[in-house]
Amino acid sequence: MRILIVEDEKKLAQSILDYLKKEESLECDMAFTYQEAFRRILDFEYDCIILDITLPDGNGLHILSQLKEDKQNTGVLIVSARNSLENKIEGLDLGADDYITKPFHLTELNARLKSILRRRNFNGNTVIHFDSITIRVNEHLVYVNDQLLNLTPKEYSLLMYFVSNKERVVSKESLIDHFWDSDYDQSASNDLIYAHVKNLRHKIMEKGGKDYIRTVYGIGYKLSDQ
Amino acid sequence: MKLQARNNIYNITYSAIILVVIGFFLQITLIKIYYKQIDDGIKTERVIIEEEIEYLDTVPDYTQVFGHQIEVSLLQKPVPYRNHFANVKQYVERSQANELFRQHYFSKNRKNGMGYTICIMKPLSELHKFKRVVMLSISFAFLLLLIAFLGSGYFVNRQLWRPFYKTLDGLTRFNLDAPSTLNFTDTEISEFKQLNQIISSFSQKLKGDYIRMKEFTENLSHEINTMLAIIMSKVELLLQKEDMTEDQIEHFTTIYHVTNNLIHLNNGLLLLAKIDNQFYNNQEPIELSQLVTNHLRTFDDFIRQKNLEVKTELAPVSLLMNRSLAEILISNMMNNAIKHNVPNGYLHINLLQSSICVENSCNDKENEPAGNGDLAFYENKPYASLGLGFEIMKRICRIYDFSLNYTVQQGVYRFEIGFPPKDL
Repeated sequence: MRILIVEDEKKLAQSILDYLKKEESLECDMAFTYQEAFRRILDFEYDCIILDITLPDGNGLHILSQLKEDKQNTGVLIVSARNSLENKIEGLDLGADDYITKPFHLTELNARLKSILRRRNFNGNTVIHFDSITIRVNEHLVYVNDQLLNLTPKEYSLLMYFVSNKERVVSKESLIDHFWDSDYDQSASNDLIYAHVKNLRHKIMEKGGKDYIRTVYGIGYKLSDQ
Repeated sequence: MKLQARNNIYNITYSAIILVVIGFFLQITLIKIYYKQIDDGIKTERVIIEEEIEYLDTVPDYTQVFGHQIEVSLLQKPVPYRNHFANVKQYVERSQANELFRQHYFSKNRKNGMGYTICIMKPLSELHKFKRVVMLSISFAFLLLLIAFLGSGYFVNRQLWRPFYKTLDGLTRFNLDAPSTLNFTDTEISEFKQLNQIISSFSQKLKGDYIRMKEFTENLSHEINTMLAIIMSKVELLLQKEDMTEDQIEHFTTIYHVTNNLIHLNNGLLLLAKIDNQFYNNQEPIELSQLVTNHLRTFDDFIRQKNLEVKTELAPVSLLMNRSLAEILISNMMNNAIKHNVPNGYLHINLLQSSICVENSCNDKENEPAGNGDLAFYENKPYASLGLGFEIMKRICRIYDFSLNYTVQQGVYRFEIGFPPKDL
């Protein structure tokens, strides 16, 4: 699948590219200006565009309108430094799939990108396999060794986040921001994340799965089958 | 105090002083004239009596003739010359009281060397009446003048200060956010002209600064967030590396945590700046009960973690607010009540037409009152909030004229926001 990263800040674009290029299924292009981005979407139909809407030579939202005009089946993940509801609503009204505010965790960006790609390419009818784990995304069902796991919505969401970022270190902070997206009680949030991860691990191992979720000391967790 | 009222006070005070002084002199003069008239009458009587004594050598009963007491004595010896007037009091049998008289005592020697004295006593009973009449007329004149002063003062003022009030009105309606600029009507009075010019240029500068400030805040936020995003992403990439030493991991973890805190801090400050810059101007009716219910769901995990008993009484309250600000306000309120709660505690939310009150159990030791109140309750928060939450709530309340009260007492924390009465 091919992704276009539209971001005027080259260093940030490079970080995103570095993170995504480890995914075997993804091919990434970068565009640093509005003009460049515009040329690229005319040249090629991308599966998803990570679109910074504040570009030095134009409004990113125009690119979004152009995509919709061309009836391209391209997913759009808006990235904005402006954390305002108005911007969000405007972007989503124009047909963007999701919206993320700068600064963001790369794991969060990746999780959202994957979610968009799944929705776009398989109409959500995806089945994800991870070692002994099988996830039927559309039905929100998870199986371990073909046995159904009884997960709470939070645990399911947590597993999806891990699976999207498999073999990567996922920080506790990014999980907290993923679930509650603001600065609530930090220590309580840490405890909650710990509890949810513990339960998830327990449920997977109960059905004969391996202990896939490793604790990475001081940082967070990592989903790995090795 | 209004300009008009202050002006009236000065007018009344000064005119009263002047009129009292004028009244005082007027009364003295009139009384002098009154005495002169009385004395002139007495002198005429005296001349008649003198003539009669000189030429006719008789002393008739003048009391009968002139109607008041006159004593004339013819003496067989010469007397020293006397001629003076005085006011005396004398007992009058008819009224059985002392009454005031004008006394004229006169003594003179005749051509034949014999002397005589004349004492004329004319009652001054009219004097009181006269004084009263004078007082009354002066007071009446005073009253008339006062009314005239105030009346003319009112009209003159209104006319004279009209440009000033127009300027004031324009300033009251001046809105930094509105695209229109201040326009003043022309006036011929140079002071007002100058005032209008100064205010005009002042407001234009203010408006310019304000717009630049808004742009600056917006740009700054973009810049800082972009840079933080770069730092964050680079550290995250580093943390993914497999071949790091323990030492390196520790350093990068610290950078990662601090950067994360910085992001939260920046977002908080940014929110404050945006509220101050009236960024959140759009208003819509907000169903507060709906908002509370939604947030209870968001906080569900935290509520269950502490095993809190939640009780809500939510009246259907709709307020005209900005949605983002309403969300922030309710979220902060509930976040606090949960964060500072004790395990197995309670959380009561009472939403009325006039106020919303959140009451929760809390740990007294944690919330010991500290001198100046305000931020004390919030200062033992974890790093991320830095007491900004309370400051943000205060600003939001200020925008909508909400009152904000909280008390910590014997393990009960109460936070109340009062809504202003609705305009009908």
